[in-house]
Amino acid sequence: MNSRVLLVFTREAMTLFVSAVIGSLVVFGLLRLLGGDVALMILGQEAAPEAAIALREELGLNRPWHVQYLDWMGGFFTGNLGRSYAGGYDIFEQISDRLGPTTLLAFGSLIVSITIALAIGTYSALNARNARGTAVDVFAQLGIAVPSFWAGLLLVYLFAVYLGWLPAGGYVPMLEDPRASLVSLILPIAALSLGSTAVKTRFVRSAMLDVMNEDYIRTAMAKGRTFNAAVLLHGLRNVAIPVLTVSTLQLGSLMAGAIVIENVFVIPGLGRLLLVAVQGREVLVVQSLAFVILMIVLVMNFFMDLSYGLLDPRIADRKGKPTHG
Amino acid sequence: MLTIRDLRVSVGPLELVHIERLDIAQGRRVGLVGESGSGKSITAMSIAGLQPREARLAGSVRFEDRELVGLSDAAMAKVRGARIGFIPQDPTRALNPTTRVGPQVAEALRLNTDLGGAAIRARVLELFAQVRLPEPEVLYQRYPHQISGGQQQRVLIAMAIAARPQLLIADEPTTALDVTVQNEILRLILDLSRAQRMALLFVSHELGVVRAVCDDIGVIYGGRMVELASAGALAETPRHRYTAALIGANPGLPGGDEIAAMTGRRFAVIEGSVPAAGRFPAGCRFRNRCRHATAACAEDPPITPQGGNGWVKCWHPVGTEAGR
Repeated sequence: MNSRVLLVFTREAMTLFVSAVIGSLVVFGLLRLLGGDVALMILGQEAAPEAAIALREELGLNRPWHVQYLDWMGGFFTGNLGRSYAGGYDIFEQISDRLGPTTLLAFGSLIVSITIALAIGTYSALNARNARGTAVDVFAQLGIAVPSFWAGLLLVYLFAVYLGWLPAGGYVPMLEDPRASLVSLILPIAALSLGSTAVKTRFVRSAMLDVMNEDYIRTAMAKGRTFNAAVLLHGLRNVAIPVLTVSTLQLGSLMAGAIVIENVFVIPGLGRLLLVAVQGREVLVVQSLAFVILMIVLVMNFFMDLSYGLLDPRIADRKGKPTHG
Repeated sequence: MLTIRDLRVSVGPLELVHIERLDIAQGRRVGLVGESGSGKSITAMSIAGLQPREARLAGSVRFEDRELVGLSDAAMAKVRGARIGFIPQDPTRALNPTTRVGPQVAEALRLNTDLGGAAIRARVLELFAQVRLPEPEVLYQRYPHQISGGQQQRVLIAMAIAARPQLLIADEPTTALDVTVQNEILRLILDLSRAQRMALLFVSHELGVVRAVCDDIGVIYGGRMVELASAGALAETPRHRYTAALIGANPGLPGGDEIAAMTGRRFAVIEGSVPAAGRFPAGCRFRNRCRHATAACAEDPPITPQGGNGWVKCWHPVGTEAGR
């Protein structure tokens, strides 16, 4: 048991590390290869040459690229990523302040959407041949079709403006007031999760319908389980595996959605900062933000792959040492 | 102990199986032989309430003084595992791939016995030894994909007999296995049924296998049982024309050589092929492939009692004058 967990963990941690290094190189390289002169990007193409030279000197852009890269990477560990040129704020400080809300939003949405999709999709599959299953299916279709920002606005109107149950926007830090923090996250997470939950629900439903025909469900029934109990006890874990795959594929759009939702609900997260930085042509802020967002996706991916390897014992054996005796 | 009367299994308007009568007495081993698609597996599954979800049952299956047809899934689940054990066709697909095999057998004990905790584990290890699995302790912790097909089938047999059921249903238990393993599994099933005085319903497309294991054999063609006889009588003096043709196609069997010689071939071939479900002729379902068919065969043949508790469902059984 423990050797398998260790094996999966080590392998996924190595994948995470390598992906992070490659990702950081891509983020760093893209801005320089495609963007040309960083100083001119910040100052604008019509900037005076002297100003550009001065800024290059100030930001250390004259140093060899590997020195710049290592300096930038080191900054994440020493807490020094420089200052914003236009805003004057400390970049590292801003990012670490805003990491919390975005992470909560993304992880919260991931957990909520997987849980709800498993529940609703299973219910729909078990009732595939009656009206209740069909009704669930219709709502799932609608959920896919409705854009999340519009659904978000409707949710705000209903629960914040009309019913007054939940705040329309804003964010309370978790450490300050956990309850208020969760309450402030309900609507944003709901809006962010709606579309991806609907997609996952459809997926759970079809995966569950496949699993129902598996021989091991019949075996469980032969042992003395009813059909429904056999499906829930023996099918769910097998369905969770493909659902994790779909969730991993959705991570990119989840982060993109989080950035939109942060702006709709005025949440002081990385997405808000990113929007402001892009508008202000703050190349170095954008570069660091891009890497942090990339890391969030990679870390979520890491956890997904980890649970994937733990849910399906065949994976550890397939990629690792064969345990066939 | 098990009494089947006019069991019909249908999907939508299509009737897949109609078993007019089949009885299994306590401790008796009964085989069901037929070609693939003849409906033998679905018959076996329907008895245990394991038929495909879209299938509907009608007629009567009485088991231990209880009517099983029409029972709810919950009521049927109490019979399954506890009173009726089931050994599946393809062991490589029949175990849950994400769970260790020991706990999968333990589940059967938790559902059907009063045992708890450590006693369950001990009993699983005992069962593993009983089905002749090597190193039960090690095997307990294995995942299904880490053991061989033969071992998987032994695990499934351990599961099926865990609660000492009165009836064991084996649905082609060796078809998916290597030839070398097949005999060991057959031996095991036979020994277990003898030792525990379990009745056995054994389904197979191989007449030779069924003959080796069973006391009585029912022959099934096109979803209908056409003949029932003791294993010896069936091979030596088949009565139904289909049974005779089937034996003729098995040269290794006693009687097979004789019939093959009669037809002038090394082994006989049954002309034509099995029609698709719903495409069978009215009356005797075999008549479009039968060399002895007459106009009378367009009517449903009656069941004619034979020696012992055997019977044949044919207008012109072997030993009577046929039209052509």
